[in-house]
Amino acid sequence: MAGSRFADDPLVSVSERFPTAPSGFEVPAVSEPPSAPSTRPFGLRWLTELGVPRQPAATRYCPRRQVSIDVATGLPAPLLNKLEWTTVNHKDGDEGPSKDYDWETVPDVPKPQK
Amino acid sequence: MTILVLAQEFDRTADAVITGLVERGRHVMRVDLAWFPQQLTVDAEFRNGAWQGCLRTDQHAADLASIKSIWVRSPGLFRMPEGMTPVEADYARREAKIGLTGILLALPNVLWVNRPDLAATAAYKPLQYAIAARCGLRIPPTLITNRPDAVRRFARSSSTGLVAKPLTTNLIFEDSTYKMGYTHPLTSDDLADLRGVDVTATHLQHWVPKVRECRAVVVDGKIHAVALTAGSAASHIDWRSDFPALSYEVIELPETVATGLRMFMAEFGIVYGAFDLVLGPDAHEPGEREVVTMLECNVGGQYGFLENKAGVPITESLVTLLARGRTAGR
Repeated sequence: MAGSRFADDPLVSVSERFPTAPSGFEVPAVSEPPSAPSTRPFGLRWLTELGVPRQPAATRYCPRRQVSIDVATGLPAPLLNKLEWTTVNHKDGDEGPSKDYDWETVPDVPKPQK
Repeated sequence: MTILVLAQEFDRTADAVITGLVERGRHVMRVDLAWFPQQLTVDAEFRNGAWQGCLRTDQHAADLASIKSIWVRSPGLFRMPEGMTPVEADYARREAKIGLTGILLALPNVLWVNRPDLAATAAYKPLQYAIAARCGLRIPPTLITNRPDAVRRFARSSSTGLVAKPLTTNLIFEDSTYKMGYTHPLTSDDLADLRGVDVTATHLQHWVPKVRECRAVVVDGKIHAVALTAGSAASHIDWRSDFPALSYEVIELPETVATGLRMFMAEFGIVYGAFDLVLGPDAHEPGEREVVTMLECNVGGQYGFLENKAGVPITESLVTLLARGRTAGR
């Protein structure tokens, strides 16, 4: 039972000691609208909608090479630092040329998950 | 020697580092923790004071004893088999976390980039501010409160105005879409309606006058600093809100700041950090030099866009560090 004491500890949770993130293209099963102004946190007043992530069609993960490959050629996709930007997203650390690529990023701060 | 890269499948930044390591002839195993338990197995015995065994996927395997560097990029959450009840899945994820990641944490002489428990501690901004100040770094006047009257008092104390910004992730899923929060300058209307301040810890800072901003990525003490000049009103407030309006310049930070950043990382025990800095005008010597104010350190901060736009060799620094592994005394 050593871990149970800290499983949901508000100060030092087990999750925070090894954070994981929702997988890149997963969308939470539950979505709710904002609550009332009296209960909605002040910091959530000014938000920009981003849409939902989409798996890029042109590339897929290659478990043998351990990197993304071009679906058509089977060759490794161009490295990120060789790509040109054409569009950008609204997330810290946008790292790709399209909205598909955009979503490979996650927020900078580790997100504790159960 | 094996280098373990904990990253999700679609992560082009991780692709670049893995490619670099393979080009150097290193043995790399990429693992998304979301693969466990369905696509990744662990078989480990504790004998003679150490964990012995291996991690294995269909295509790759790593002897636990051979793992000498681990890059925690952003692994996914353990994905449990269909058919489990939510209670069973929660239990299974807890067991997976303590079991699998506990083994990794127990491996000896491993270089972690970053060790996740230390990175988690460094994610606490209030602690960051205190450590940064001890390291000689300038931090904006800051308020964290759930008292509206404290917000009004804090507003009166600022000659530059206030900005609201989140302490944690600024990305939420709501109304069937993701939403992102950027730094927001408070208006008189905002200050007249402070509903929602009292429902949690609200984080406010004095607005820091800026000439431009800087993201400084530090890898094992090597600083890659890129100045970001805003070309729009939105990007002037928060550079993340309008990437196309930014222009980039590789810069050298003042030595006192560089020393402070390195001390900050040493205090937290981390080897990778992406610092957001404001480069502001010097009231005493306008136009002569820029005053550097630290806003935050992102312990898993993104850097691919800096490499792409400014050519800073951050991937190369990470590859070198991971390939080298841990050195004596660290």
